Amino acid sequence: MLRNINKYLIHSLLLLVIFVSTANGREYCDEAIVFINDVADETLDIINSSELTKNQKKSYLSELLIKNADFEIMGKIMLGKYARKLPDDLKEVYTDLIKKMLTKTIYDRLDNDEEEPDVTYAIVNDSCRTKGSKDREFLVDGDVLKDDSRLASIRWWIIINKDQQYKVIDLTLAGVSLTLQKKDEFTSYLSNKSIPQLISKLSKKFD
Amino acid sequence: MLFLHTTVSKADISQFIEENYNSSYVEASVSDTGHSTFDPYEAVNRKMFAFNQAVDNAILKPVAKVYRDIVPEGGRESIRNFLRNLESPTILLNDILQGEEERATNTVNRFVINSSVGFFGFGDPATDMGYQRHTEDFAQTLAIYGVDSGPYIVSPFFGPSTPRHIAGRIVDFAVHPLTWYLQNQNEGYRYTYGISEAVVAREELLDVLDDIETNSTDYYVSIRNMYMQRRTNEISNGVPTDELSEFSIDTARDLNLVF
Repeated sequence: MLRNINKYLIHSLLLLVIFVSTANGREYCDEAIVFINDVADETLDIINSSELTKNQKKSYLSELLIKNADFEIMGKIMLGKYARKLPDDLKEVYTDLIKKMLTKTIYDRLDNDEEEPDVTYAIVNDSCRTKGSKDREFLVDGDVLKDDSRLASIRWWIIINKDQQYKVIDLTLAGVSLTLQKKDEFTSYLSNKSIPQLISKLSKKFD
Repeated sequence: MLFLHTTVSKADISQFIEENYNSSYVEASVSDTGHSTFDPYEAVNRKMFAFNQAVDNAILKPVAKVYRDIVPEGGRESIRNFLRNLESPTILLNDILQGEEERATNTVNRFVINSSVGFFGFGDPATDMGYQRHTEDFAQTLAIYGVDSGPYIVSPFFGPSTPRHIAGRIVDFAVHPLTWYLQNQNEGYRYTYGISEAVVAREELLDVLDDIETNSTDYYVSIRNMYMQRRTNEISNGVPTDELSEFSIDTARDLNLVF
């Protein structure tokens, strides 16, 4: 009898843990979608604006990126298994270079884009799920629309960082993940070179 | 501690690294390559990649630039539409082989509308009517049937590929009605079609490839990674796959210790 009660209690506790964990994930997911919709709206306001010059657009997008992305985490993901080897005295300069690299990538992209005055872009984010085991990573999926037609899929990888803020750590556009592409590049480079050499190379390119 | 200040110059960084880190210093405890693409022929691939780049820089890229300079955007878009419309039979065949009824119907509708209302495919009114363009090829069909991609291969002139993709290209070429039609035509027509496709495709990628080359630490790896990611995306018909989502900070062994 006592054994049965114990068994019942353990089952109930397990169910409670699962329920609470799922509920937390869902709640965070709702917040993640709100966060990413705000980011997407701000991005589109800049891109769709007919009043801003190209340089102003670049500058505003750069500010938006700096405000909403976590370059430290992105940089570590890009280093992959080598992240633990990043020397302490190079951490800050490395993170700064990652920020410069990503900002420049966006700048260059915008520089090449021809102005399309009559085109309107929209982003519809419609699904979210947790990732990993700690309810702090989320994948928000959506579509980029060009004049109401689906242009490409978009996937945001979001994290609640150590300051309890939602931050973007990857963007996958039309199937190409920016962070994972850089991870492939960096880990391939680091298979026969060192992190300081990588940083030196990045600084020559992006500083 | 120099680096706690974020405005250090490029020269400062290089000097600091030179002074404090021996140039032969490599992360010794990490033995494998650490990247995910299956590329066992990397050394040969890199040579082929360099060859393709040389050909591209000498011939294709300059021609694509001239083409961009002399043909206005509207004209280039019409030519792109025309060539894409000619791909319809291949797309339709593979839609059918993959059991994608809705997409097959979409392809037929696009072909009929663009070939007629769109004046032999130079226009693309089908998109405005809600029939979005999609691509399919035999390599994607093979992937759907479970055929593995095999290793990454850089093929001469065609660039990034895999054995599955090469096999797919051969089948797509062999079954395309235009291949059979052009067989009995003047040689000039055959070359014109092939060269046009190459120049139009290269022109479309002029800015993208320049950006990637400028902003990457290893152009070869960037192209390889983009190719693999794009192919995965095409096979899944643009739906993000779970393969990437499995990679997580919490579960990746190489990352969870640094956060």
